[in-house]
Amino acid sequence: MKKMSFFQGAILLCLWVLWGCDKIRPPYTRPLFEGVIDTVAYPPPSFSPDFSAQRVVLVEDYTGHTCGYCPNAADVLNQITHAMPDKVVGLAVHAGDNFAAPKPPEYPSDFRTEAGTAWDNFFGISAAGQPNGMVNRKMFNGNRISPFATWNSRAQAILNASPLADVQIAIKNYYLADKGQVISYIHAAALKSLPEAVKLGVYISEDSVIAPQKRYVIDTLNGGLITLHIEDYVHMHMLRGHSGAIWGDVIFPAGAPAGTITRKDHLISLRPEWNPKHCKVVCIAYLADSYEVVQAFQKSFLD
Amino acid sequence: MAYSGLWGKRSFAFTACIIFSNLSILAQENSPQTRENSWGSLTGTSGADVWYYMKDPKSGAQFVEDRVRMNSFLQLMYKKGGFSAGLRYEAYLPKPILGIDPRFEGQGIAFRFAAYEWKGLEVTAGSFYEQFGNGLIFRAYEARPLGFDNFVDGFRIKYNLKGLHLKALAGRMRNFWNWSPGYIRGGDAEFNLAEISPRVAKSKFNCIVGGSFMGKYQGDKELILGNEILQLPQNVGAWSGRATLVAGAFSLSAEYAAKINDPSVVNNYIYKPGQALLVTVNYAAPNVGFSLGAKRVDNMDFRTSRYVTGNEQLINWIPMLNKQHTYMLAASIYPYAVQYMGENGLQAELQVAIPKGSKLGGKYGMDINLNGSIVYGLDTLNGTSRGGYKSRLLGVGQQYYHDFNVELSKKFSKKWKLNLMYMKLFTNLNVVPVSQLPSPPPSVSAHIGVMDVAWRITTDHNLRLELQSLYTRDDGGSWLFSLLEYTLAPHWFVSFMNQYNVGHPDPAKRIHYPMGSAGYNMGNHRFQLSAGRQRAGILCIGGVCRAVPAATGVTLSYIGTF
Repeated sequence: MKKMSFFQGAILLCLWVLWGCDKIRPPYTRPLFEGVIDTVAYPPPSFSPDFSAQRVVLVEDYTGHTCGYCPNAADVLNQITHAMPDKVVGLAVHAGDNFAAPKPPEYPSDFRTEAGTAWDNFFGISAAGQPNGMVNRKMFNGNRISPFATWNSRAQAILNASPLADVQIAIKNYYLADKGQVISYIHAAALKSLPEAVKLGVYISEDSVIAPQKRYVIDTLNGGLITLHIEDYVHMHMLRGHSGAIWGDVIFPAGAPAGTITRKDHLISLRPEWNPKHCKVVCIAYLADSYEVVQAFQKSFLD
Repeated sequence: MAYSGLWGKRSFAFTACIIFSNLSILAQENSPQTRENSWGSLTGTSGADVWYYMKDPKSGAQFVEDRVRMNSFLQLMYKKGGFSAGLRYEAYLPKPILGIDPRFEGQGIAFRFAAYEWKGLEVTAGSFYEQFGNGLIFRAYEARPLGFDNFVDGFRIKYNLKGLHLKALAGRMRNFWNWSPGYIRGGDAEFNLAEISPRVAKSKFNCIVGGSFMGKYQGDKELILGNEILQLPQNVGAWSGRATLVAGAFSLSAEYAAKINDPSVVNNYIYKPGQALLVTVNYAAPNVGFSLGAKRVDNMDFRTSRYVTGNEQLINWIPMLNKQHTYMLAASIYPYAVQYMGENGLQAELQVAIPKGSKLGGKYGMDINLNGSIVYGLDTLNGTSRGGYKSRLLGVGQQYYHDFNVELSKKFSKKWKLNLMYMKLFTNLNVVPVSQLPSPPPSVSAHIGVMDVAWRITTDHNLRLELQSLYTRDDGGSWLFSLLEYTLAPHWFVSFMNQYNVGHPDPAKRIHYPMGSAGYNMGNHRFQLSAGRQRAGILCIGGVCRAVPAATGVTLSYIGTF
């Protein structure tokens, strides 16, 4: 009887084992939209290089909704992008476990993205503390990380040093409201021969995202800091995702001659939480080895 | 599937009865001993922590609009013969005290069960706690100070034969006042050689082997992430095998666990299988004890929901291989939280009891405890994006934590006793984010010294003094701690403690955290009233941690059994 009980137990255990597993085999994923872009109904624009194209600088703000000092950096980024709307592209990258992770119930959202996390891990921004950021991912005094107080002067310095762009980027978007998609034709032209290969990454940013944000303000009466919970904080330039590879693709090999043109077609499926009216396609062209950005460009979904 | 609506009523009245019910029961019985008669036996435990919060901008204490908050519970257990039933009522009013997850807000019967035992068979319906092996694939438990409770609500059968112990269960786990979105089911079998062999039982040898399986079901088949659609495993299984060998004073225990693909927000939606190995060796002789433990954890975060982080909805528990310190500065400034996503850990401990009458031990002997632990991350290589990383079995990554400590305990006379402790620690603050600074450094190294002197003035009067110091040039700087405690046995005690952040980089934050307490023990019931500042810190139990926010005010605590 005891032997029977043992075997019954063993069989019962085996049944549990067999019952409980779904092994997923590669490929683990499939594209959100499987299809081709209808280039007849939505024709790509014509493009020719403009050797007088102006340089556009990328200013990245690595931030988080529980980072009390981060709104100060966001204010600086907003001031820069308002002052130089055609010369600066701003990206607010919510990244890191300390300040960007959801902290329900006050801060339930998770605005972190795969691209932002990959950048943050690679460049070590949140590990160095937030708020912090980068200006064109360029090294200043041996450090790629730029405190927010330096963003304006460093962006100005880059623009003053070489106002003409090395790479020209042009974007044409078709917003397909019924399908919840955006077709984005991206042209790039090498305006001069560059010593490194150039990569182009395509990303989505969104303005006017209303969500809670912690903010520290100075208590002028009692000294110290007051912690504010701003329920309806307006987040600008928020990185929402990427299209294609996180780190982009090579568009020009090293030494590609001036005048070389390439076109990248992207079909972007909108996420329910995005407001298309506030979203932009952001392109970043950078040197593949040194990661320094040579040109940034953005275009609204609806343009 | 919320059950607060079924069982809970938002009223203070019932909560207030918790304390009074215990007092009235106590008044009826001189002895708290329970007696089973023809009506069976009823036992219970209850407790309450009440905070009155005050404004204190200097300490950074959070302003609490409702001022008074309370966590309380009453647990009842009825038993007659093989039948038992119980429930636990909980109330967090109007909200949980600071530091406890606000989603506990409310009140109601959180836990209830009925069970019976018959000839080795034990059947439970309703809520229960359980653990398979060391917990690597399954542990349902409660850690009340953490606000952690993941009991299973479902059905469990245990069958205990001579030498063989079987368990099987299915259910859902607690998720605050709701149930987990995923279902779990699993089984465990353990074979104990000494229980079936009288010859082995009489010897110094024994062998215990066991195996477990735990599966979870979560209904989602796909998840849109960026421009990808992830194929999700609805059924995720984990299994483990374990063995313990005993040979005289030595024992060797090992458990290996593995988990199939389980993409989740914690592991960044990779499909890499998980695994964990825990090995401990112990030697226990009359005056010497030694233990050595090693652990490797790789992608073993296992939850009933793939969308949550922190301490939420954990199915498994990875034991810590670090000393659980009890002295304030050692326990709450830079504790280590076990990294379920990956770590390599090693711990060694030597306990020596210097015999009474020896030159070193003196008249009362002396205890020496040496303990060291070190934890590294995994040595990883990037793999395919969704296939996950590869980790080298024998490699180690960056250092997460180390802790070396030595503790001496010496009784000098019938009246005087001294404990001394020194500890050196290193914590990687990028991995264990326990810093209180807005922009913390990547790591912290610290030295901690403790002196604990107890003076037994008379049989009833005792005085204890604790002096502690944490020295570091990193992070939030050095700390000083002192505690003076006077006990008037068997009922009363009063204490005063103070913490001072002497080395904070911001001089304005070099402030004192005083706290005075008085307590009264009444049989199996204990009341404590405290007032002062609570320092922001980290509370860890068994490697699971939560943040403790700064708070200033008055607290009243009660715990009792009947």
